[in-house]
Amino acid sequence: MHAAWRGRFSIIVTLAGVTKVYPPRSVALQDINLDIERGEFVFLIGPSGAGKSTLMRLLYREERATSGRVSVNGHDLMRMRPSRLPFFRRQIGVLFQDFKLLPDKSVAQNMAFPLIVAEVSPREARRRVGLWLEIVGLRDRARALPAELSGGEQQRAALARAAINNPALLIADEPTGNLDPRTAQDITELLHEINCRGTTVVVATHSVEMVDRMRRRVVEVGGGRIVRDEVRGSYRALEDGVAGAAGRGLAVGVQTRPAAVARVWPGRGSRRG
Amino acid sequence: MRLRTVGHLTAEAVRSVQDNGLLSVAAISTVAVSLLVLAVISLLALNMQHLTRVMDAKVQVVAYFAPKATAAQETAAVERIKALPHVTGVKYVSRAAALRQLAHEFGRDRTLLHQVETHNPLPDSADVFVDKTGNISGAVRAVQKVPSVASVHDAQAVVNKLTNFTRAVRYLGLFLVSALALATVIVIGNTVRVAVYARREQIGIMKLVGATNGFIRWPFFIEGAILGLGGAMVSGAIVWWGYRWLNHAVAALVPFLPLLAPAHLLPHLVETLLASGLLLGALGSAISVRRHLNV
Ligand SMILES: Nc1ncnc2c1ncn2[C@@H]1O[C@H](COP(=O)(O)OP(=O)(O)OP(=O)(O)O)[C@@H](O)[C@H]1O
Ligand SMILES: [Mg+2]
Repeated sequence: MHAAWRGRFSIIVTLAGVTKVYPPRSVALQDINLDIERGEFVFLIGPSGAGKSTLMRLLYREERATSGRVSVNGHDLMRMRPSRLPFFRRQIGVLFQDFKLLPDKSVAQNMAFPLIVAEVSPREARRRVGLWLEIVGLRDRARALPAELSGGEQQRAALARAAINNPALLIADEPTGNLDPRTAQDITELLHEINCRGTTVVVATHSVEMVDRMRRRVVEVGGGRIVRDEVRGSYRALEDGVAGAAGRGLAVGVQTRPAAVARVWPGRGSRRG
Repeated sequence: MRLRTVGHLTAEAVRSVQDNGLLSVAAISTVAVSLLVLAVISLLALNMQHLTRVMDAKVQVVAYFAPKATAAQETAAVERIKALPHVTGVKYVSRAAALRQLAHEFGRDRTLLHQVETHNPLPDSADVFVDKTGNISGAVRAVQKVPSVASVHDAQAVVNKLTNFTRAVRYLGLFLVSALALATVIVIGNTVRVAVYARREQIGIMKLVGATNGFIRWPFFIEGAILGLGGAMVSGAIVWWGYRWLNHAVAALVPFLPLLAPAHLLPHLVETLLASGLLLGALGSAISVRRHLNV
């Protein structure tokens, strides 16, 4: 009874036996099984072409899995009616390497965009834009256009836009790919802060420093399959010599039930409330 | 949908019209030209219909007497015409009376009249009233045989020709207006297609942050409606001032030509133009959005 309740409400992402084939026959993902609990911070790593972006696109339903089961925040994405999709998207924040800000709208307008779309009242919208301008440190640049900002500032604006709806899940596909290490660290810290506010965060990255500094759950994808899943992972599985090899062995064993491992991760219970 | 959302979507549409620049101008011009043709044809048809009615109500057959005919001969002829079958009445019009009538119809422009006054070219005549339109040609033939009658003017023949011509104008107009309406829908559709293309990135982002299909589509509908309405306003203004000007000009130059009064005609016509523009614009963008916006 208790376990069933936990299973239903504490898991935000479930991929079960998921395969994604891009027509005509480019197999991007094969038999993926992955559970993510609410409040987790997950790094998705792997070489170029491994299938990281594809996996993320399944999570916000930009792509549909070819087979298997995809469930996000209680929604069965394989069966979701197209008319429900916009309302599902409002529960998800998405961040990209190339920011995807609207070039003809100011920073504040870009941040307010999801709120206008969701028909949030102007008063509440102003309050939240003010709050997030503060959080991402763009108070002085509120009226600037994206072209007038540095890459780091643009990504901070994009991050505020992705998080302004208090999404249950934030998906970031190489958010620091275009940024220098110092700026990348700012973004990483903001992602951590958002995670601390209760949002589940999934980040695809090639950044070794980011992964190794954070020491959070690492899911490594290779050739369309999950090849490693560690609770407090680092970028390279073998970096600690024998211990790393043991870690890899553990990860393979754990792969089928990652949530079980995630559950013993210390310090997470408090955030889940 | 909330009012402020409607405001937001309208603002987006206005921006898109501005961003589209020359293309918007071209679309508005096309709508204006199309609707202008519609208006001109409508005005032509309505006025010809009016003219036909006015002429129909006037004398149907006029008998002109020979210049040499004496007063007694003319009186006898009038009596004989009265006795003809289907003739319901005859009204004798002396050449002096005919000239006065003409003078009245010419109104203020007396220069032409002054020239003919010194030498009245009009003959004596008789207006002949016939019971039914169908009996007119028979009556015309009978009147022609009456002595002292030099010629018979069959006004009905003119009316018939006018009626046929009016009908032709209507059909031609219908064809022309349909073709132009189609062109308008296509041009607006194309403009909206370009707008959709220019905003594809924004549309992608809107989808990402959870915009509904309606939210994404509405600005384009509104944009089409704005273009249609803009064109309609241009054509409406041209028709409004143009027809007034024409009415003055005609009243001065050809005063006996009975044009319909602008005050009765124009408000309805301009209303129709605005509604048509709006409709064509919305239709064009609806078709375009359906075809080019995959949301
Ligand atoms: N739209 C698409 N159509 C066809 N094949 C695709 C498409 N997108 C991705 N692929 C293929 O799917 C595989 C996985 O691509 P994906 O973009 O998910 O990799 P990735 O891990 O995100 O790589 P990178 O680190 O370079 O971003 C690749 O072989 C790629 O060629
Ligand atoms: Mg990628």
